[in-house]
Amino acid sequence: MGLETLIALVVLLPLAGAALNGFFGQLHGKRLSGYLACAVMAASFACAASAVAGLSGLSPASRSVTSVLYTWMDASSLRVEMAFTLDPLSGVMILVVTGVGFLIHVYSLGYMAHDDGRVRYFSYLNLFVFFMLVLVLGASMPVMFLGWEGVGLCSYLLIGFWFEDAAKATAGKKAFLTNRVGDMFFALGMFSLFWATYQAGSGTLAFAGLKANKHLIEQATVGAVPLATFAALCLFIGATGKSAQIPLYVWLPDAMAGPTPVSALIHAATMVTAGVYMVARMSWLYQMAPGVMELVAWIGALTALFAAAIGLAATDIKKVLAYSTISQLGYMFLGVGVGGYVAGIFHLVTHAFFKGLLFLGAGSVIHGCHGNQDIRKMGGLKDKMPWTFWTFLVATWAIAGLPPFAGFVSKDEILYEAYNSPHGSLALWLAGVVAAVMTAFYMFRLFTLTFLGAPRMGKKDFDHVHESPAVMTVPLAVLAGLSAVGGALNLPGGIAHALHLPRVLSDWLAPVFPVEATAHASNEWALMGASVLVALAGTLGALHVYYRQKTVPVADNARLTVPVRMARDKFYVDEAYDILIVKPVRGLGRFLAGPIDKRVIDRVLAELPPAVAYWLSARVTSLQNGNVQAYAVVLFGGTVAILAYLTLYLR
Amino acid sequence: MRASLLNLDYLLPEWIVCGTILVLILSYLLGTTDRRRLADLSVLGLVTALFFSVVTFFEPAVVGRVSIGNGLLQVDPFSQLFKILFLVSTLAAVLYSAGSVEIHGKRWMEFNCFLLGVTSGMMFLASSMNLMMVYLSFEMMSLSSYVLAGYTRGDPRSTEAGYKYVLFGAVSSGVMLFGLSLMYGLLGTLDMGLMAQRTALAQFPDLHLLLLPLTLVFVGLGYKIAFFPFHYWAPDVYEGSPTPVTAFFSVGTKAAGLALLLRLLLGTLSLDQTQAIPWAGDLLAFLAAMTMTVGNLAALNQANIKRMLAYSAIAHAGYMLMGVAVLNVAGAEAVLFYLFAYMFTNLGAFTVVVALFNLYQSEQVDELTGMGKLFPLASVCMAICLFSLTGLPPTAGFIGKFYVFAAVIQKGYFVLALVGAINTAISLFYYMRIMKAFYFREPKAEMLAAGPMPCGYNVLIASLTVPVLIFGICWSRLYEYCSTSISSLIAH
Amino acid sequence: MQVIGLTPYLVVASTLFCLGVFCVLTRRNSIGILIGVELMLNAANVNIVAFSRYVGDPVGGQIFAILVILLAASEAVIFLGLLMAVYQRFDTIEVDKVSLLKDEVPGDDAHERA
Repeated sequence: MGLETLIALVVLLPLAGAALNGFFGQLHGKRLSGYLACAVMAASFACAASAVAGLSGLSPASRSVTSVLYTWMDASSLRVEMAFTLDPLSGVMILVVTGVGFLIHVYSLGYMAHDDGRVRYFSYLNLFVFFMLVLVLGASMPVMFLGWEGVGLCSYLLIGFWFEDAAKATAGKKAFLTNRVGDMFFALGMFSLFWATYQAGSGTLAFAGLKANKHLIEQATVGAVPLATFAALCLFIGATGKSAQIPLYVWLPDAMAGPTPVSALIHAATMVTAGVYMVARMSWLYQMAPGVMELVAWIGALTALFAAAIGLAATDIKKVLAYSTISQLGYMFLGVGVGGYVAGIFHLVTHAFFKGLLFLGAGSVIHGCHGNQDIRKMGGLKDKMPWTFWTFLVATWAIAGLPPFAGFVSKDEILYEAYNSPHGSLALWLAGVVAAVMTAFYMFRLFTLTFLGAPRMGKKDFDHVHESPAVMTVPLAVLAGLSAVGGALNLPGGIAHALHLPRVLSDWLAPVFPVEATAHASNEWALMGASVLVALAGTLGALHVYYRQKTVPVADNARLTVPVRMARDKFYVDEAYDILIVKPVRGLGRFLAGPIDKRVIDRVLAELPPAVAYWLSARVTSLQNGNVQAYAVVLFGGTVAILAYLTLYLR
Repeated sequence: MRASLLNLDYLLPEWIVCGTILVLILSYLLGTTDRRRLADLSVLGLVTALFFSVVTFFEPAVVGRVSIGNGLLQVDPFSQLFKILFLVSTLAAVLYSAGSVEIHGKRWMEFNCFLLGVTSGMMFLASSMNLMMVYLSFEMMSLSSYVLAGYTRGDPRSTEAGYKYVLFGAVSSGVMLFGLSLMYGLLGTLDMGLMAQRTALAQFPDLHLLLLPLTLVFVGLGYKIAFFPFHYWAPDVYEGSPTPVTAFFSVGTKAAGLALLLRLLLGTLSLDQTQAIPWAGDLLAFLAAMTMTVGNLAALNQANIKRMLAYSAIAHAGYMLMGVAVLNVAGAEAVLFYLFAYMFTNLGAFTVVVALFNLYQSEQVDELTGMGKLFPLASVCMAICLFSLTGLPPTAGFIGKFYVFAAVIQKGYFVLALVGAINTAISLFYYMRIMKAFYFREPKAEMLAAGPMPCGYNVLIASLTVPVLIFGICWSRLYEYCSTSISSLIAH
Repeated sequence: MQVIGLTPYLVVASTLFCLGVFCVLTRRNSIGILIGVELMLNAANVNIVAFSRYVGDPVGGQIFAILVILLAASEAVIFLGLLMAVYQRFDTIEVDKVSLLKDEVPGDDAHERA
């Protein structure tokens, strides 16, 4: 079957799964709904793999296939088709989304086995994958935006999945609202790009079209600001919302209220990476706005640091991972911000592997510990949950950046770009390195406190701890394997050169990023060594503090040193938002609702028009008195009036 | 353009419809009195006619316009598209009347015959290219409609509806005939094609003389389409007629009137190209505004759902008239698209009303409470149809309104667009009142006793609502067909 | 025979038409209204016949006229049929007495407002 059909199938299969489960789920029952969802994902992955294989059969210059479903909008100035484009970049993304997605679906079969709402769960999960695929495969900005909004919606639905609990529902709401702010900026950026091309007569929002018209965008301005800068900035703010960067990251930790597989899929592997993907997709735009690129890199670096700092003190296993995700996303933005697009995407892929694994492993731990999520109450799980233990170790090893696992390779690539790229700087590299130390430290802290040492939960609880069933541990194993060997996808330049091995990902993505990747510089080995050193430092430090010295984080209300207290309280960012934004807005709302809305607006705008309307209505219907002769009178009266008007007009 | 005396094969859809009438009568005489069986016959005939209409829509000869009977009728994509519209509405009408308690079993065969009679009249009207044919098909349509309106003998309101309809209709068609006669005299021919040529070449000194006849013809059309100030029959007749008949009127005859109006204004008089009658646009715009406003305002006060929907139909005629008022291709295409969207929406909504009347014999909004709980599928479909009538995305009604408003704004009638927008807002109120009753109130105790919604009605309602959603998301193809039709209309 | 030209016919037709309209608008008896309608239709017919003689397309005009007579008759049939039904139901054929269907003047109606 043709590539276009395959591409369409990749997208539409999850939609079909969602629809079948959503509308007919009650009919085919809870067990079947799970199997159906997994089957759909497997099929979608198979199609994705075939499509990418087919794509690789084409010559590198022509590796871009578009599948058009139908014409969505056709106003005179704008024509948008519901079309999906497969090129090397989107190919990578769909493999990650469908592949990791499939594994997480299988895992969910076990995790949600006792939940009554699992039909709804699987329907939402499939729907999410559909929207994510629309996002990454979209051939134009409106289609991408459709997917962008759609994943936000599904995120809301899934975070607040157990909506009977008010706190969980609020978390979903917070995610949605925060994303809305970002989405608004995305839309602004999109409009400005359209406007730039429309001014010159070739209005388009298709990626191919925009890229072809980039000279127009380069010349246009918005007031005193170059349009490229404006658009890139707006789009990036949108990305900070979706990808949880400063300042719109606050929803991600709260999003841990949802089921853990959801956190794995949405908040680790796929949705949060949408922002990175978008910047990569619009790389040519960002090349035109170096100021914004610098901002992107710095926000990424700062977020990485900031989130890592909070992660150092967090005590909920999922929250640690949430902040870790924010931090790693910061790395990705750091990568693309300095022009290392391949590096950023590479880290995106490896992060999907090891972070997905970490979350699934955490889910396994929570499942095995019967709902406990506080790492202070864990410990000694190593022998009780061997599969979880070993796979979690692999993931932690990877994320800490220790060779030879995938995390090391991709993180090192980013740090290399940060140092050597013309957009990079020593300061950025240093920030990345410090964050790397912190990452290694808090991840091994998490690992040690959870699995090693003596058990800290009560004896009765500890006896009940058990390993998770195979349907959950097999995906863990697969992801562990990928985290281990994933580094081979894009070996560091020096090693690849020495071993005469190809840099698979760089070569594959070359048609999309014609920007000269920083040629391998002489300091590559030195930088690599530095990366290894800091990773080791962090790891050993954590092991020393938490294993050797058997430190256990204290209770929340104990007396803590100032830095620890600040980290525990997440640096009061949520509180600051509350005081600066939420409370004033609420207060303004109350003021407007009370004196102004009730007394003034309601009277004038809400009570007066209906009163007028009903009065007019009465006048109008008064003519309708039931006497058909009267109707005839009106008919002739109207005719005469029309004739009179016409004769007078013509005079 | 092929001109031949006997191109009668292109009239196959009409032949089939008329043939179905004969088949129905024959089979009744031969003993088939079963309601289901007769309905099947009608459906079969309609589906076949629909098939041939679709086929002829795409046929190249038809695209090049085929003249039948030496200029009496013309088969072109414009006429065929309207015929498709008519046949689909009649099909739906037969299906939902089959189960309706308002049409008694003994008179079911004649009901079908009259229904098909109206349909054949409408189909001929869409194809008419001769004033005589226009009047003939107009009357064919109207006479059967009068009978249908008064069909329920037991109900005095139905009788009154029929009476009012025939009285008002006779007067209006008398006026229209007088206008037609004057047109004949002024332009020297009954053939609308020749008329088009003569008005284009301005072979007579003063087009202003056409003013009177055109106005009179316009009166007749205004009555049929039901816009201000000729709409006064509509609320009463719609309320009194049996509900299946009302539904049919609200779509079919309105569309037929619009077909003729478009044919006259854009086809014969070419008002989109000439500036000969500059007042036409402004006058139409004014009437459109008045129609919308009157329709929407009056609907606010209605407690009877049929009467409310009748006023809503008047208001929608106003929206469509806006599209005609701009007197250009974009407007005409918008009107055609709107008609399709409106057809599915209105038929869907009315089918729900028919079904509910079957169960509860009630038409009052205040009595039909809690339907959301009792009949989830029908209520959801009703909600979608009401959203479409208001013009909210992602329904076809929104797309239709979008195109109409776009055409109006592009032409520069900003005040008209503003009036339209305000009216859309007003309409939300009364449509949502139905929704409020359905979903936010509890069903009355006696309602629970009636049985479940028959499966057939559920299927019909759903199949009418699905196009509303589909055309709200993926509408380009339909719009293309409308474009084809209009371009065949204005080509000379 | 003296040729009187087109105008008198048009005048007669218009007069008939106006008389017909007057009948329709002022008579209470439904049959009276029917007569008014017939007057209107026949006025149009006079027009058509006159035009067919003087302006053009004679055949078409005459056929049209016959058709109009036919349709006027059919219309009258249906009108009278429905009138019979009205008489059965309402015991009257006066136009203002047959008005069950109308808009109530909203005063203190209890029905809900949005």
